[in-house]
Amino acid sequence: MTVSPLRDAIAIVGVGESVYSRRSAVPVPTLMVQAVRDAIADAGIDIDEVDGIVSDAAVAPHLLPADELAANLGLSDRVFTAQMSVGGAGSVGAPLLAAQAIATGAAKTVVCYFGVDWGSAPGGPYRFHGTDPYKASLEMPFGFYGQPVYFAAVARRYMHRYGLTPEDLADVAISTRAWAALHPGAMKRTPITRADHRSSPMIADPLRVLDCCLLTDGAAAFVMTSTARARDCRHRPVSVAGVSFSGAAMSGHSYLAQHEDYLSTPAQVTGPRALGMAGVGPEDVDFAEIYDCFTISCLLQAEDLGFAPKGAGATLFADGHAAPGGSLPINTHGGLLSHAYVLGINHVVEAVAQLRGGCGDRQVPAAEVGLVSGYAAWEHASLVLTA
Amino acid sequence: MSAITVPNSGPWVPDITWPVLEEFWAAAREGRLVFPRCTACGRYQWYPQAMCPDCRAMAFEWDDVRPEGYVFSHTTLRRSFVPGEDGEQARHIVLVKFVHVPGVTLVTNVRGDMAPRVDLRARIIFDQVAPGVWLPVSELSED
Ligand SMILES: [Zn+2]
Repeated sequence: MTVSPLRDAIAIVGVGESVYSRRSAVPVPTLMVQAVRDAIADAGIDIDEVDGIVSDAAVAPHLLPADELAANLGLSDRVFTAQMSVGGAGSVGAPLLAAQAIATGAAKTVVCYFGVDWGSAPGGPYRFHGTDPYKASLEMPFGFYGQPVYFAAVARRYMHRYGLTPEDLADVAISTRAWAALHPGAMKRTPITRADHRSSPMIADPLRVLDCCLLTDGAAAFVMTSTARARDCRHRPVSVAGVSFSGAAMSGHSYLAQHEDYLSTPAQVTGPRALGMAGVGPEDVDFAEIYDCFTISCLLQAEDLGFAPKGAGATLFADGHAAPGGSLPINTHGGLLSHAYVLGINHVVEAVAQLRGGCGDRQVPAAEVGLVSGYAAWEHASLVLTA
Repeated sequence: MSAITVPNSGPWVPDITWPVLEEFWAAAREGRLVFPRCTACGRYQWYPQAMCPDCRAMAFEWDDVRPEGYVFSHTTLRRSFVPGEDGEQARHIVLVKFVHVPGVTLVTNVRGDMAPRVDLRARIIFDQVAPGVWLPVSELSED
């Protein structure tokens, strides 16, 4: 197999995160500018060295377009701008855009930024579905509206097929919260039990509040440059060893009612591709940050990425493998369920922090290979980062 | 595609004048279940779109189908996110597939109070919810 010219071509050299809250006192676009500034400072480079900007294509550019970000930063010659994916696969797949630009010499230093105001904005994460005429006609009259309802139907089908129980779902939330308890920046840090899960309000059967991600106002950013230039930056560089994106033949109209089987995600395509590009397998991964918009979606991707056979993802959580001290730590910051719902850019930031070392109580011992999984229903990105 | 008019308070009623689905709602008024079918290869395409993703032809006809399906998955909604609807509720939602209409999933509610289960039979009938507006609803039964 030929080695991809993009393997280890770039490194992540700086990260920045805002405070995460349900309702930010500071406007989110301002948080986004601050996160970019902080990420560049963290890299130890001058702002003027940044000549490229990437992001997801749906959420961040609506709050703060790339040109407005560039205007704030005073970037006088921005040579590269690109966006990819609806939301969840965007920030995780963005290194693929940066790697192409940097490896070809089109850009030298590229920043990926993200921000979301779904913690406080009226309608939150559901609003954009409400403007879709297919959903307004064929789904909303029946109450089939909003991501928790879609994923409830996914979970119910999976339960039917594989015998999953509500306790299995609870174990995902419990393990993830245990990690959040170790992260000072997580929005929810109080440990939870199966009893807490059982008494948490039902949203759409079988999904309860504790099966659903948080709602967050917040922003984050990370800086990428060539592996050669990365050596001069402040921190130990974190190499982009593998990255892959895939979109299936589905759109926002038919998502998620028309999904063929409800049991798989495009992670089964991007996971092996990204790992193959990095020259490693699932057994070489020291920790994984998986897009846990719901407990059930975390399980589906964990299986599709090769960490458990189909239908057996719950054993990763029931047996403590994914929890602190386990053999395959998953969502070491508390994920979207307990850290913050910033659509996976926090997963990238956390993977970088783990690979740098120095995560204190939650540090994964001898962390050398991390896998980040970004999910947006019919689109997926996998990112393999190495120390 | 033209914009759609949406009510600003629930319950949510579809705009049956949206051209893309006009024939679906016209058939529903007559108690018929129809889906678009590619005139070249016979594939059912739901939701409607311009091109058949199988053979790439761009012509469809609305095809009458037997309204007998099965529950593929389901949920019971306790809190609605639909704008204007009462937050607290207990509404069964079923996703119905049809053995003879591959590739189609129809979202409906449930007639009566029979609790949904995967693989129950679902017969699609139609209920009038507003002047001229008839919505599909599933009548569930054991085999
Ligand atoms: Zn066709």
